[in-house]
Amino acid sequence: MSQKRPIISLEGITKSYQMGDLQFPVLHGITFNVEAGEFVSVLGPSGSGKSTLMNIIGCLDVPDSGTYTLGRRTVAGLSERAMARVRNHDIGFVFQSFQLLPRISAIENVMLPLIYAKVPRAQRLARAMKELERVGLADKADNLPRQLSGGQQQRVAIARALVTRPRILLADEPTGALDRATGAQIMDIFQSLNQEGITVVMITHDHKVASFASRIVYILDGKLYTKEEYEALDGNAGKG
Amino acid sequence: MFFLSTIRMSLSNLRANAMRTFLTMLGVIIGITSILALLTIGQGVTDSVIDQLSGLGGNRATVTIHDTAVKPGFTENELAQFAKLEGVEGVAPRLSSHHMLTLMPELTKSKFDGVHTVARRVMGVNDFYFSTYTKNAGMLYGRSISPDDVTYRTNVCVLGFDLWQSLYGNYSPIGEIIKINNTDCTIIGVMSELVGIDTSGNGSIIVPYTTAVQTFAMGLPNSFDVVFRSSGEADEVIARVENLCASLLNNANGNSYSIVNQEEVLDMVLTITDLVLGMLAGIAVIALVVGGIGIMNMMLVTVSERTAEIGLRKALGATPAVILLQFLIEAVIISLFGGIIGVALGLGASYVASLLIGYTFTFNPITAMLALLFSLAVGVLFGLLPARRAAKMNPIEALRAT
Repeated sequence: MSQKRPIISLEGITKSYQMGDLQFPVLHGITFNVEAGEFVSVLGPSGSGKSTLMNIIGCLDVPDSGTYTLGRRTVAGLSERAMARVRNHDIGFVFQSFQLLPRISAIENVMLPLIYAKVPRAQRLARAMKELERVGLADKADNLPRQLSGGQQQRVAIARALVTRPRILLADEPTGALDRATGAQIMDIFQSLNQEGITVVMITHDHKVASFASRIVYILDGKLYTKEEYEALDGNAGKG
Repeated sequence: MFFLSTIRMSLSNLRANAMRTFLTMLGVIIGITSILALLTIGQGVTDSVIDQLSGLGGNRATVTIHDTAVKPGFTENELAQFAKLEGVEGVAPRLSSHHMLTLMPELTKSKFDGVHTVARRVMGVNDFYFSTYTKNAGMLYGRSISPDDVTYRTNVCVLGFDLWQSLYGNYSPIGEIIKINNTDCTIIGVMSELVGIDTSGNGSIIVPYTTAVQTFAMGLPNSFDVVFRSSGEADEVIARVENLCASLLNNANGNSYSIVNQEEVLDMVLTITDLVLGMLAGIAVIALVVGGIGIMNMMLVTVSERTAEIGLRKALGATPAVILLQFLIEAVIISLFGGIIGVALGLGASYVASLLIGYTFTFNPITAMLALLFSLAVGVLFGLLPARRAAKMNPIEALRAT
């Protein structure tokens, strides 16, 4: 392990969902550290709790117990307003289905987080353009999402995730809706972003995609495992 | 800056659903249009009525003997006693009934060949009637009835404007003779056209009331108007008039006559118009509330349609307050636009109504501002619930909605 200070630190995180009278435990005491500058994949089948984990890391959800430290800040107990600011400043989201607003152009989609960061319009335009250049889509700035291919849409979404200059990029199945070649392009972008110093946490069920990361952790039935631990488990349990 | 980009976003969302937006707006448009039109038209009509009533004189009262009274009416002498009371400017008795007018070619050059006979209203009045009731119109030809005509019961008459036109066209018949119930009456004047509420003089032939009593047997006047010197002392003067009535009619409890103050009539009219206006405004407010419910309905649909968008915006860092503001602004834009269109339509409607009904159209900027504020309030009030629902949405569940 590197000597860097962890940027994401989860200690004994549990989370369960209430469905009527029934409690469904999803995460059983997860302890997970990510160092600044790492590229980590969380690999697991559907229903393993990986999305819930991502929601907690992304400050979209709060754990039932355990502590979550993001940088120097303890997330537990933050107000909704403060959580929104953390999502805006510290985390960039990339979703499986891109989540671009359909009626506004690519550059306006990229500018969206800057509106919430209260950045003046002129600066918003300049910064959004810079991010679009970074993902190679400067010439598509005025296109509507539906005028772009899936890969291009995901690159717009990455530009949007980067525009507030977050320290962490959080991706949930970022290639899930793309073909292999396009998916590989997206992974190239992630790798080069990681080399520029951005911490990347990617959640996926796909071994090949996960292998682009520098470290893979495994999640199964709400528990995290290292590669060695995972391989030591009954081989069939891991197939999802 | 943030506000501006939110407004821009809201406008583009509303444009994307132009038809739905317009239909929703229609509710507010109808509400505001009817409120503004009713208030403006109502105010205009009320102003005109007040104008005409007070042109007629707020400074007077009408004294009437009831049918069951011991006396059939007031004599000349008694009327003179009323006229001499302190604070009284004068009294104006009025008798009125239909009689036969005969125009003989040898006595007068009317529009007709040969003898023409027609039944018309004969009004018996005194000189005071002319100096107070018709002084604005004045005489077209000749003179009006003088105090001497009243005192000496002369057989003279003044033609009302319409009657004169129907009998003579444009010819001035001053000095010629018209027969009323076979009594020769000299035409001494023609009145200019009366406008306002009391235009009964226009179609009448007017004679001294003393002549009407004696010559045409129209009975003693059982009703007359008392005009005060100043409207400020109305109560004191009415008390004096009442005392005199009581002593003349030997009736202390006062149930054989009535005194109606014109100001009370004016008050009564105002009470009624206020009541009617209030009712209509109430109905218009109901229309506006229905419009507001329409806004709420549309915004609820919009919020549930855009669940995924709300989730995304929250993930990108929109605070609940920002989401609330965005949807509230959309609701307010609908209602405020509707309000502006409604104010324009309402003013247009009341302008057209003023041409049709014939009152003076006045644009009251305060009413317009109030209507706009009202529509704004409707937007905020009915937009709040959907906007709160959006603001409270759980971002995870919202994102999953795709």
